[in-house]
Amino acid sequence: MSVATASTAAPAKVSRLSVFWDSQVGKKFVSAVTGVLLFVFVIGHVLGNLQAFQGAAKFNAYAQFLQNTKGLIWTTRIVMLGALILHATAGIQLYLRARAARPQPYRVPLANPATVSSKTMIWTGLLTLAFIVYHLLDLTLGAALVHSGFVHGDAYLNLVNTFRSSGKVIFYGVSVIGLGLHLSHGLYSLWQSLGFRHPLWTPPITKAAVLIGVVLAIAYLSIPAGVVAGLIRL
Amino acid sequence: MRLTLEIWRQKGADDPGRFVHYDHDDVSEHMSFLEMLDVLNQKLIGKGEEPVSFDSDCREGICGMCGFVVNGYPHGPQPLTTVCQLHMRHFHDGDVLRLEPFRAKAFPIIRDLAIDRSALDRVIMAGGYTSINAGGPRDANSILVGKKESDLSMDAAACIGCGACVAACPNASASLFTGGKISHLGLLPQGEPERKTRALSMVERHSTEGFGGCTVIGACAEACPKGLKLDFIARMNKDYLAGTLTFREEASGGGSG
Amino acid sequence: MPTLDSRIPSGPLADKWTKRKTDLKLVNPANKRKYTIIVVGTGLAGASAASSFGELGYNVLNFCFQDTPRRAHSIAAQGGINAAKSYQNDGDSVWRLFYDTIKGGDFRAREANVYRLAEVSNNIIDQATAQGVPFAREYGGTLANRSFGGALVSRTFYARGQTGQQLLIGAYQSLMRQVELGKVKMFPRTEMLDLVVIEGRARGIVTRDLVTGKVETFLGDAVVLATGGYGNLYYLSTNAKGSNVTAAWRAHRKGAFFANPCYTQIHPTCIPRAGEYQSKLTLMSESLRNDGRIWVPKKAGDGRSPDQIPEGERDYYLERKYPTYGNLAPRDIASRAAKQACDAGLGVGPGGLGVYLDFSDSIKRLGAKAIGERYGNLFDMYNRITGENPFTVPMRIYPAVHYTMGGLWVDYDLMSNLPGLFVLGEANFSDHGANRLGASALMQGLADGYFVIPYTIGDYLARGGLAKADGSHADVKAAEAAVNAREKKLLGINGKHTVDWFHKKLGEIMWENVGMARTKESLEKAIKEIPALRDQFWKDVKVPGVEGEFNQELEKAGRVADFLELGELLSRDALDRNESCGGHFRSEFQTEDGEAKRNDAEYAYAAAWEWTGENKPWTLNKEPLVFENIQLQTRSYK
Ligand SMILES: Cc1cc2nc3c(=O)[nH]c(=O)nc-3n(C[C@H](O)[C@H](O)[C@H](O)COP(=O)(O)OP(=O)(O)OC[C@H]3O[C@@H](n4cnc5c(N)ncnc54)[C@H](O)[C@@H]3O)c2cc1C
Ligand code: HEM
Ligand code: HEM
Ligand code: SF4
Ligand code: F3S
Ligand code: FES
Repeated sequence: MSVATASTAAPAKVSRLSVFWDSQVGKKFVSAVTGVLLFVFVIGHVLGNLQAFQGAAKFNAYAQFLQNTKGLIWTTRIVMLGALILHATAGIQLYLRARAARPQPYRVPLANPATVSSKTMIWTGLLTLAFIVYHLLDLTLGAALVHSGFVHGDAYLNLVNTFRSSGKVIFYGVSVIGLGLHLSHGLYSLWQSLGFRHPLWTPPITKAAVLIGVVLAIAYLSIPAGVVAGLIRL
Repeated sequence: MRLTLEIWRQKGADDPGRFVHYDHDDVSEHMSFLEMLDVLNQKLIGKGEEPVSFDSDCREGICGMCGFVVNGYPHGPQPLTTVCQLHMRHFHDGDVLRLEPFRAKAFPIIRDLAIDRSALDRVIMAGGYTSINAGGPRDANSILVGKKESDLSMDAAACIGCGACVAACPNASASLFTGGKISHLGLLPQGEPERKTRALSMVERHSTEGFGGCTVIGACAEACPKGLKLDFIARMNKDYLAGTLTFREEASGGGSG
Repeated sequence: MPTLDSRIPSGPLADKWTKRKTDLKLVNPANKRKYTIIVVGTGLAGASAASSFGELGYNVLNFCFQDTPRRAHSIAAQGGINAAKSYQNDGDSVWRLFYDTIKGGDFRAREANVYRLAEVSNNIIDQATAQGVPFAREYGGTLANRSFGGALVSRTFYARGQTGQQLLIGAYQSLMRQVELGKVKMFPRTEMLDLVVIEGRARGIVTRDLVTGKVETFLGDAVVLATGGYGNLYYLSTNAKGSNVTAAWRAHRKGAFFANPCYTQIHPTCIPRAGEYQSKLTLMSESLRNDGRIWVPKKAGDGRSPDQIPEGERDYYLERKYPTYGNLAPRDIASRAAKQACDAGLGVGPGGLGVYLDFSDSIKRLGAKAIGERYGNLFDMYNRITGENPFTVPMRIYPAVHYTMGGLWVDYDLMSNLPGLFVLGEANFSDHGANRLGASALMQGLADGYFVIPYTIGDYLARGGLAKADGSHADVKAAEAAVNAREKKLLGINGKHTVDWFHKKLGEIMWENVGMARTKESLEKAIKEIPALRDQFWKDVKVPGVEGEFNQELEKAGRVADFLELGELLSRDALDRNESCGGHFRSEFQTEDGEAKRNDAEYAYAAAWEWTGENKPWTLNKEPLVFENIQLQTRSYK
């Protein structure tokens, strides 16, 4: 072993915050907190979206209500965007570090007993990111390239239109399944990132995370499915 | 029994390395895995070939010197068993076994299956101790430790520093090792004074040594021959977070003093 | 024959160490950083010494052959460590620990050393606890104890079945703290291959970097060897594969006396050997004898499975022969009794080389859970190796070479006869006489490293006369050249047999002739065969590879070459000692009922052998053992 080493604990002059953000534990902490915020959003969002089953009037009223409460919507947007950026940056950086930590891959793949969801966080995360970008263009901004015939103010129409395209149904479907997978690990691992693990509580948390992931994915899937099945129609 | 071995041969850090095929036909089920390799090596030397380099010392599962990957499993497929304690009765005639070194940037390959794990020592150097000198301590029984805490601390202290957790982790993280030491000491009153600074400095050293971060995949705990649990990583996170929250500049370096 | 001065302080036994400490010269704290101490070994003895030197302010260079200091073979100790804390209120005291240890050693150790060991034993427990060693605890939070062979009090502290590991990790952590602080410079994967002696003083070592093959010399003001035991001389032993005598042997060849090499401890509870390819033997902690009962069938060649043999047809021979100590009789006695049973054809398992260690009575009495709590990890280990479950099938055990009481001769200050060369732990001969009691090697290693050498080395340094070691001195160059030449020679032979082949042959000679029971004839046979094997080795060994690289065969070759010399000395010492005592049993010298018969009138001395040159006979120096405080008696564990 070489005797020369990096300096130890907590360099005096550097800001605590940057040391924290730089550390693996800090990044995970940020990832967990922002992940919770994002999770709260996707829960609220799916509940709102499910109103589509109650018909155009109800759904559009809900959309209108959101549009009209500017304070609420912009606060949410800013917080969510910030959370997303922090969350994605932390996740991507952790992934890059992990890659750098094993420059020579195994020639025989590890016979890894870990869950698929835990090993694919970066991919389900990136998928979610790509989905969000596309989804904003599709249903919020109504960019012509993505969504022709977009009508501002008629959220219900736009939604039904979207799922008339089978390509979009598939993409939305895959994405929300990805999100479900992401959360089925994320909702368990965030506790660990916050330093909480307990022989009594961790096993049910692990199960609940999977359950929530699955339920959430199904709830989201039900909307394109509803359109395809004709339950949600113009 | 007969085995087919594919063993990773690499002369040194600069050699790209490759798998080399060996037929091994006198394997007894009572042999340990390393004895099986001993026999192979004796044959190779007899034939004028270079024997396979691999590390081992105690051969009873306690020193942590042995370790390589067998068919994708660090220390082989038997749970809670180092490769020196793995016996051939768990394999079958005709099996194909692929042996690779533990791979991580922090573990440079020395030769064949032998690697340099001194990065783990440097993680300990960053604070994996109680800062006391020989000669001064008070009577051992004046420090009471509940049996539960003591047992849990022992669970964490059982780590043999083999590096299998790093080998198994898709992120090449040594968090189980690091969390084990932070927990071993942090669970005891003796380790309490430096608990938080220790976590801060050891986690930092863990990164500068080039290990990846933990994203709670859990493969490490499955591979750990000493059964260390993910609880110890949670404790590391907790102590680190507490250390960050309560950090005061004057306290800097305390963990390593 | 010259006699040796052990420099034991005068005065009453209980005051000797205090007196020595008061009389020692001290090094000015500001000057400590001007001294460099070389410590070879990072086991309990080496790590505790190196970290303590660092704490005191010395510069320390610390070496080990493993890839990290934490893997020294002390890590393998399972059972426990003794101390005279008397926490159990069962009548223990420093005196009693001292007495048990002297008696356990069959009255062949120095009174003063053993007393000091018992005296500082309590500090060790305090020190280790402060380091965070997770010793077993009672529910109330106090430390727990267990009893161990050779004692009637419960004084053994333990950390599950991993006491050595935990104590070593405690010492290792302290060492790493000093490395971080820059006081200790650590050299793992670096093997000492020679001692550098300049003007009669030990001043340095020649090493080989095991990764790059680089041969290098390190110089300092004193050299401390803590390089462990040489049980691997027998090829099969409970020692780690790398354990060796090379460091001590090279020092011996440079003038340090080798004392009592014939005292070899054969441990009674090891897992029997399974086949030809066996590379080492695994110890099952002696603590198992607390709850396990040892027996063999009464009928020779009884082929029935153990559960088919009724109580009346079993011979619990230790309980029968030694009613007071029963299954807790000291190691040498228990081992020999097992050998006698197997020699009589009563042995069990493959080749009849095994006896049962049976837990069924304890399981009935205490429940499987309690037994599992006490010995769970040992049972798992046994199961992993043999594929049998000790909860349902009695364990099979057989004796194996385990510990070497002999080693380099040292005085009371742990300095060898070569000024500046200190020897600690299993590598010296000091405290265990002819037989070591369980749980006392850990105690000795840590006593030496934490509480003795930090004082006594200061005295040596403070006495002065140490000019700066000169790297260009002819003796330095010569030592380095000799190491290089030897490596070249080993690689150049390119003969027919591998190093292991020779090592196994040597082991067979040793085990057959210089094992548990030795006779004049068997020893003379060994003394003939070993040099012949040695000659063959130097003509016919095959060491592949080259010097300048990671070459594990070359490492082994050097070690086996030294074992081939030690084996002869060990046999000669055994032949010279016409008595039986502790780990040295000469069949000619036994009582009617087969117990060891000491000869105090003629052999109450430590035999310190002096190297006189290649192929020349050793000279025997004697250190008479004077017992002022205890009565020599025949050991009785009946
Ligand atoms: C299986 C087993 C169980 C045991 N159980 C107990 C027990 O329960 N209680 C008890 O009291 N005792 C026990 N013992 C005995 C005890 O563990 C040892 O005697 C003791 O630990 C030896 O410590 P040490 O520091 O002298 O040497 P070791 O721990 O053997 O250390 C030797 C050191 O020297 C280094 N070294 C050796 N040669 C060289 C060289 N040429 N160059 C560089 N470095 C070198 C090694 O790298 C190592 O660091 C047990 C022993 C064994 C084998
Ligand atoms: C099948 C599933 C989904 C449907 C039908 C759906 C539908 C909608 C609709 C109709 C809007 C526009 C609301 C409006 O402009 O008033 C919207 C906005 C949005 N959706 Fe979704 N959504 C789905 C899944 C998701 C998912 C999985 C995410 C996140 C990962 C998400 C994130 C957003 C965001 C960020 C907005 C913009 C909100 C804003 O205006 O600030 N959506 N969604
Ligand atoms: C609505 C969207 C998202 C939600 C609800 C979400 C939720 C979560 C949660 C709860 C965790 C666990 C955090 C922890 O264990 O501490 C997590 C982890 C992770 N997320 Fe997301 N995430 C979302 C989007 C993304 C995106 C866009 C990425 C982009 C790259 C991403 C990448 C990751 C990665 C790599 C991890 C594992 C590493 C880590 O825990 O930091 N996630 N996510
Ligand atoms: S935590 Fe387990 S796998 Fe990792 S080094 Fe320690 S013993 Fe090995
Ligand atoms: S496998 Fe790796 S990601 Fe964490 S839980 Fe173990 S260190
Ligand atoms: S060789 Fe010691 S743990 Fe395997």
